[in-house]
Amino acid sequence: MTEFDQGARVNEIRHESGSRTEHFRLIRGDGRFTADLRIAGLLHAAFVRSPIGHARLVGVSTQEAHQCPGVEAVFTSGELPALSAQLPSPFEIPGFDTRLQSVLAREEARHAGEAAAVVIGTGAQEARTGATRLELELIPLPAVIDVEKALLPDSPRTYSDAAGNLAGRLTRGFGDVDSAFKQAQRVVSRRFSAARAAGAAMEPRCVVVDPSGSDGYALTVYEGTQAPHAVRRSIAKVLGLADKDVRVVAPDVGGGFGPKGRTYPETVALAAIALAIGRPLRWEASRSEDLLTTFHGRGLVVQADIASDEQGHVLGLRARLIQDCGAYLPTAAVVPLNTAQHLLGPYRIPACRFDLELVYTNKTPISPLRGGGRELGVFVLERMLDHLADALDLDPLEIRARNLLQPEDFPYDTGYPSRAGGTVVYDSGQYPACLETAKALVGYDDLCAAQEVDRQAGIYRGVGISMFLESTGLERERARAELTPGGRVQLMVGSPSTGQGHATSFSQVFAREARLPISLIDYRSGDTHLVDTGIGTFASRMAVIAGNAAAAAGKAFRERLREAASEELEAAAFDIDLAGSVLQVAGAPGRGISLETLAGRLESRGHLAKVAVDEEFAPERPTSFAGGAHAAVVRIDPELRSIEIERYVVVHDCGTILNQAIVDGQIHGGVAHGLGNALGEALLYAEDGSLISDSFLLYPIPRAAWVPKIEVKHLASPSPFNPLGVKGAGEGGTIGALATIARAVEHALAPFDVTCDDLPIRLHDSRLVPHAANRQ
Amino acid sequence: MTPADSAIEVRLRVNGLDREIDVDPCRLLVEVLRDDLGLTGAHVGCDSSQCGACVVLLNGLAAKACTVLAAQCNESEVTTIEGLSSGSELHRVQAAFQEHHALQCGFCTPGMIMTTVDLLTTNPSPTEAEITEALHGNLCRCTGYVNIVRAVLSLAAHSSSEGGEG
Repeated sequence: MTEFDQGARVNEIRHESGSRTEHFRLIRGDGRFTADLRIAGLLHAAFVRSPIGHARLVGVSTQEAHQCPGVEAVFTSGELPALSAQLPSPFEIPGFDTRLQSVLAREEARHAGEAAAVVIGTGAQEARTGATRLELELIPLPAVIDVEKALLPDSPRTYSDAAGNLAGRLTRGFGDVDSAFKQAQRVVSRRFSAARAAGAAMEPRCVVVDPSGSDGYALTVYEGTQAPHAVRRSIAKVLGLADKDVRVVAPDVGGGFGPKGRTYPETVALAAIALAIGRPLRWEASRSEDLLTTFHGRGLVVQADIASDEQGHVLGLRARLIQDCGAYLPTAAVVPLNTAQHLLGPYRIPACRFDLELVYTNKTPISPLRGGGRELGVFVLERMLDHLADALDLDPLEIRARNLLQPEDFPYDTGYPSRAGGTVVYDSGQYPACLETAKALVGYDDLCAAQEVDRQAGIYRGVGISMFLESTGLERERARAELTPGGRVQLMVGSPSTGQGHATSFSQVFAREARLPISLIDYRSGDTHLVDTGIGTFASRMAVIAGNAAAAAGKAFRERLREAASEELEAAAFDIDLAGSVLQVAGAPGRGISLETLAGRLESRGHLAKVAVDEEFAPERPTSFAGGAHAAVVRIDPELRSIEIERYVVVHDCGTILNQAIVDGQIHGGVAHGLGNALGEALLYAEDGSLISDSFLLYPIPRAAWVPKIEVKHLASPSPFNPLGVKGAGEGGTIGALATIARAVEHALAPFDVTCDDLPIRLHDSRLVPHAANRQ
Repeated sequence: MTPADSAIEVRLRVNGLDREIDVDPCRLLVEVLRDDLGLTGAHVGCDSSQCGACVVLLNGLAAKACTVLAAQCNESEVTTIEGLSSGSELHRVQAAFQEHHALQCGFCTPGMIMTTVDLLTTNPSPTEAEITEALHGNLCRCTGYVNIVRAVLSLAAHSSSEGGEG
């Protein structure tokens, strides 16, 4: 495909924005989230959890709980084999000391919130009351909280049978880093940290399990998950069932952001208990339970060194990454490996070495969280470029321009080892244009020029611009489509939407290829019964992978329709056109058949299944790279230490845009999430490992007045790695925001000695002392 | 104490229908709406009255249904998201949310819409600052509020038609 063809395609698709098909139900309160499901005879579960980070569990007194009115049963780890089983991990790394969580804690609880017992009640309140009467006999043990101290020889240990808290080490890189640093004319070294953060999807986790078998499955599980097929696999494995015996359905999902892509102990516990007692069960997390137990993100310390020549050309990059993994390794090294890979960004970096240390602590396990680790790689790299620019007395944008990859460099082989084998290859991009556009849109030069005058008037305004890169895609996904007896089309995709508007985007792509009106298409997803395989809605992969699967399904569906119509109309299939919902013989206006009539005739002869397709998309190069630039203008009141974001601009390149309203929305939400991480969100633990930040009062996510109007400008470099030319767009908003805000704040406060290398940025912790040179 | 021992009879007018229900005195309005009346449009997103996913109109004013006991609402009129429009007609706030793509996962949306209805009743021409102030108690994790604010602004009496961005 030539570049021109793809450019034309961008415009063609982009004009199909319009309203999302899923809006209508949701704005009328007709959404069906897991907690909205009603099943006859439903019992409710409440979990009894360790309140502290590390404790020996010496006993459980269940007697009082049993006596509570409405309590039907109490379960501890010994009651059913599945309750003491380990949750499987799909990512184990050879040589690692991989520790996996058991469904209920047995001898030790290793993070606050780890459950040791389940109370089953006739109602949620009955179960919760019963849970408060159940006593865990815990002997507190020293808790491992600080990830750097955890590596000291005298640190307490998360696992008493281990030599220390290190789960494993990995090294990644390429090129001759040592000579790069030897030849360097300038080396800058910095330490960075990022606090733990929460996904905080507005819908807390909730699970409903139905063991009635009414749909032909031994177990049907409803959960607002990002990955129903992975949840099915884990449940089946722990319960000793076959995948085909378990159905997992993600109904409407109230936000995911990464942590809802995992299998949780509560889900498996409910499945095991429901199967044992033969009653449907439900558990709904309270917000505090959700903040406590839904896997966290971030939690990283980095020591980085960058080497350059006197002109600021980067020669090499070294980093030591210390990842706070929490007490278990459900996603192994996925997060820090994403971080490491994204330390390269959109630049030409000749040599690098990244040493990753994964460390156990007595905290909730870590999982990918919007950005999936990419955001911290980009944060550290962009901050290092800012610091290098300062050291060389260069403009930070100039140092970026000198190192950015050029449009003619693509496809660009970074030399960095890929997880899938081979090396990481960037598909396409126009990074210098993104940088220039951001600079022009935000009025960078004017802002810098006005700064001195502003300061004399007591106004501290700063501007930050940084680049981002986002690996998107991965693996495979399927799209099925069937003609229904009424002449409509049911389009089905394995992995669910968690707010990304898949019903609109994928119906649109399918309809365009099938040449059918979008109004004829009914979209369903997130149900293992409908599509037997699916990887999950994360890694900004659905538009890339499922979008192309939907396009392939649309193309194939059109052929099946023409074949079916050719029999009815006694014409060759290639002579048949689709016009609206009518199949027409070309050049013979009288000879046509409506989809509805065709479906009716096929149905009556038992041939409806002839018009059905099942297309998998599994590209040879499953990763495409979205990228762009962010710019922020902040104004700071040094007295109040308040930060106001006056402007926020994103220049975004995600290749072909399937639906611009949806992509813009993803960027808006992503930026807001990043602003939260940059300026406030932090999950804080007490010395005993109890979580302090267990409510929206103590874990404040951005509110409406906080978030500026986010301006979005699209540039499009379609990916040559997939037929639609798509790159993902789910996380770039978050990934680019962290360094951008950090630089803007630093720039505003340049007269003071403020460095923003720790997230979140806490001006209240800094002493705003003017540089001596600036004192009057 | 079981609910049967202490149940209180509560008369409510919900979405225009008179309802008489026996409720446990410690149950919240949102629980009664969702569990007893099957009105699941009001959602529970937190346990500290911070998120606003449960906002309904209580005697015409926006109220977080998680902060009110059902027993306190005797003789009250409640409008939930389900009662805002009928048939395929949308309330103008719902239509503006649809038009401006002011929702993604949709979990916070009923509360956002009900708060907006209340805002526009008391202040038909809110400024952007007044809108973000009014929505202070409604959290959204998906949209960054950008299109929500745009949707509400489009309804402000002084608003000319609001253009989309570039």
